Amino acid sequence: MSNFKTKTMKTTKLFAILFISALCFTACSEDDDHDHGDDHGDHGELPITQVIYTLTNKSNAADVVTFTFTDEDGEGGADGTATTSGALTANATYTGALQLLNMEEGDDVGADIAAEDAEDHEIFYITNVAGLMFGTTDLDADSNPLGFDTDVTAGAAGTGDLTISLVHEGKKPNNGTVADALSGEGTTDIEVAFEVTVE
Amino acid sequence: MHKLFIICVMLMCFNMLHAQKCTFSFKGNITDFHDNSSLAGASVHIVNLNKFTSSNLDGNFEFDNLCSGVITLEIKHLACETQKITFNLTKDTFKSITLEHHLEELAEILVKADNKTEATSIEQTLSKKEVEAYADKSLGDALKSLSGVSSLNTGNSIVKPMIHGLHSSRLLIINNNVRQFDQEWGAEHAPNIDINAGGRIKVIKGANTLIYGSDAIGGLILIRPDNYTRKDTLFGGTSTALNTNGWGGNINSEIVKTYQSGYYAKAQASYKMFGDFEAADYNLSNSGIKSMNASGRFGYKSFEKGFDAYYSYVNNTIGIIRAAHVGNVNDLIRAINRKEPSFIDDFSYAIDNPKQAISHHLGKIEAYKRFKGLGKLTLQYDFQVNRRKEFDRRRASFEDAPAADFRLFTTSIQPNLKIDAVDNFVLNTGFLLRYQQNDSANESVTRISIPLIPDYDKYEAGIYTTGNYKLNLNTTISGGFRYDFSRIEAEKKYKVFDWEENNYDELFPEFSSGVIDNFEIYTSPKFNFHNISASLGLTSSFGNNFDFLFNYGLASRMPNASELFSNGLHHSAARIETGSLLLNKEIANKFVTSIERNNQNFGFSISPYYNHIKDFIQLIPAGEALTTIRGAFIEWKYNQVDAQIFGVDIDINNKLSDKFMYKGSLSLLRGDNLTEDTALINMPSTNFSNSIVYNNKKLNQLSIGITQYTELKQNRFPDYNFFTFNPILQEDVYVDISSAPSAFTLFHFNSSANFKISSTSSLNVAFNVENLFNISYRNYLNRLRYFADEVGRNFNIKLKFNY
Repeated sequence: MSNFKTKTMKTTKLFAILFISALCFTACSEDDDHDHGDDHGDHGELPITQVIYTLTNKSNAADVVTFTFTDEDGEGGADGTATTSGALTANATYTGALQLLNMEEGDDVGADIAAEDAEDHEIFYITNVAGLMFGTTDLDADSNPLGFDTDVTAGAAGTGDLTISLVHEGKKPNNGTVADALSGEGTTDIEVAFEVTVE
Repeated sequence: MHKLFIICVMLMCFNMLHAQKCTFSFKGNITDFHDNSSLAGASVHIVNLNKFTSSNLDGNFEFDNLCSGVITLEIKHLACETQKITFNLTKDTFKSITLEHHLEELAEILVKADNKTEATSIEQTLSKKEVEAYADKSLGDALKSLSGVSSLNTGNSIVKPMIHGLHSSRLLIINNNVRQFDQEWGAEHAPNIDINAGGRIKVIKGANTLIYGSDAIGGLILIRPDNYTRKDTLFGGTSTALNTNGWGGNINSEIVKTYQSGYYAKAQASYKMFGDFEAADYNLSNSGIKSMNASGRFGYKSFEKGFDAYYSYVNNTIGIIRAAHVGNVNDLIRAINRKEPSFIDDFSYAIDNPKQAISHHLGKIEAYKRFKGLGKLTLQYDFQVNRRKEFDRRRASFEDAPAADFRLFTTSIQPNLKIDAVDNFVLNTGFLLRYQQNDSANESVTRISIPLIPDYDKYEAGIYTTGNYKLNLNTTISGGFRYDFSRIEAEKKYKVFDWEENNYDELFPEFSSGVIDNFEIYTSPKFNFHNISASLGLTSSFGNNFDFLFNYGLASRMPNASELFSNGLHHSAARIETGSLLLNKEIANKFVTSIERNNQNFGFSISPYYNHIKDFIQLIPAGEALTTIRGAFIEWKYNQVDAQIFGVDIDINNKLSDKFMYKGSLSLLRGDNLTEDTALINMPSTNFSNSIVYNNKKLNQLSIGITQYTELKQNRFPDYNFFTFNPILQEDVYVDISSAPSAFTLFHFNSSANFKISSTSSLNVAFNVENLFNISYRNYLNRLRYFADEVGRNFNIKLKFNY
């Protein structure tokens, strides 16, 4: 009996040694080098530094209004600035196109999102100008609205704000409001506000 | 005994076989190792001949009529380490023998339950057994059980210890005699230490241990290795803990081999894994943790010389609840206003973004030698490599690339001379040389084009002297002085706008390279700091186990890399944190006293303290929100104010009866921003705990206990709330980022029993319930308090098998 006990004891100690050395080996081999980007090849995620929303009058190609938000030095540093090129024509319909750009690299980040990751994104247009309506015309692969392409209808004259919001990993489909899109795990990747005038 | 007998028999045989002449004399003289004074009355025993004598007043002894052959001598003296000498007697012989009779010195090589770091230090200890109760938790969780120690958490797995309201760079964590450098500046960077690797843990609530550094404004945490006896044995232990909350646990195994000769070796490894933890009412999605740790140690110890080599590796992957990633201030407001996290999923072991993946290597080698009539010289070399990768939620194709990636390398060399030749007086003196390098991955890997912490080189040199003088049997005084020089040389890019907005272009033109590339300017800030620190201590013992202790410490700390240079976005609180090149060093004057009664039946300690910190560096919201393409962010800036923190820690233990034991503790603290006449941010609120434990030594050492822990609401917080425009709601909204959550009370249940398996092995079984009543609560000192509750009830089973 005592012989048996000594034996089990030795076995447990042996197991302890095995466990420890096994962990040591797996642990130590896992440490990788400090990758300085070279093995990643191309760029990491480029920050969006410019939002351009271009509205073109469907019946008058010369009537173009652009909303531009530029934060050339990225998050932090100087504040971004929002500009509106002019007024929308009352009771006109426009085709809207949204571009999300990285100005430094001249990269069209919006195009990458639309091509690779549309299902995880949705763009919302919110305004407090009565009669001004935004309708999304593009769809992601799941046939849910995406929002890079829009149809815009201007109503009566008025002044107010236009907010463009890009929700990442939000609820899709949703009831069309930012609040619903953000009710799950969604987060805001873009939120920029412009002055808008209809006359 | 057997071996001794066999040796005796063999020696006798040997002697008889050779029938030598037996006319030799063996004389000797015994002196004290420290001051060369003669030791009278030492018993001298020739073991193999069974002859006894003792030394006379001059320390001399003599044996006559000895035969030639091997002599095994054993010398004993009251309160001395017994010495054994073996030699071959071939002629008349004289030997000088030195013995060590300084008890405190012996404590280092013999095994003593507990001895203080310094006679006068005000400290609290967690024994190895108490530490084991937290085997599947973190260092911060274990320390929090001590009065005056709280923690600053990010979720429930990232736990930063806090002593008297101070954390991060203001605490020195000494891991196996090596000062831990693991990017400790960040509030969401917990110490990368496997709690299972060390032995007992001490918390020193003053700046009085100058040997380790001059910047312990809050205090010190010492993780001490186990001490082994000198005998031939192999032992170890394997323990495992299983939890229902998080459906995980850990397994830890260690094995120790010691030799009579003084050599020893230890290997230890542990693995911990938890899935999503659960709050009282919902799942905390993506809060799991995986941790893999291993350590090894070998060395040799004797009274005169020895060495110790230690290596440890820690690898943690820690999930941060997914709901805590917010895009901007408006997301943050939504998170604050909703009662539950925005994202709750089913239980999972997967750790998704956001997460932290950290590895830490620590190696050291230490050697010592004692010199007669002088003291002990110790030389230590150590190095550490800390690699931290933080992963954020981002577009799918970039999820695998870290958003932040730093590697911190630290190495130091530290000789120390302890002079103890003079009675009642111990002097420690030494110096330190340290080099540290931070390497931040560049922008093509991480998203932010300017790393939060820049590349830098840091050089440190320090020199110190501390002394302890025993005035009389009951009173010891101590004092110390330390000077440190530090130089930091950084390579950092600034946004031109920030560089100019802060007037750095006029204040620090010498740092600028003049090279501007795409809104960014290349700079190389260099700073020198001279730090002076000093300490005074007194301990006095009165009758009836009463002690009085007093500590005064002057500490100064240079701003850390984060405070100087940090510049970037933290998604967990929609904030941009900005450092300042204008920061000076912090200078703290801390007074701590303690009135203690160390007694099993009724003991207590009452320890009031006052800490005045000049140029206290704090990170606070700078007011208005910043406009970015992502929306509004709160800018948090480092600034400096004069501050005071004072309070009292009270501990009581009372034996209610033979089997029932009561323990209670209370911590009161108040932190003031004296410059702005307001409260300091992130100060722990009043908390107290009471526990009653039933112990039955006869019944398998059965122990059953219940603990109550209450934390009151922190009513003293600075109000940095503000209004911001929400463009979606088209209105101004109130951002309440300052208010503290309500008070809470938790109950915990503990039980354990010991079962003997054989003469050398035993099994300890423990069953515990944490948060017995599944209380849902939030904690002011949790950075994720805006997003989710703390963890709910947990059933825990621990098995520990000693062999």
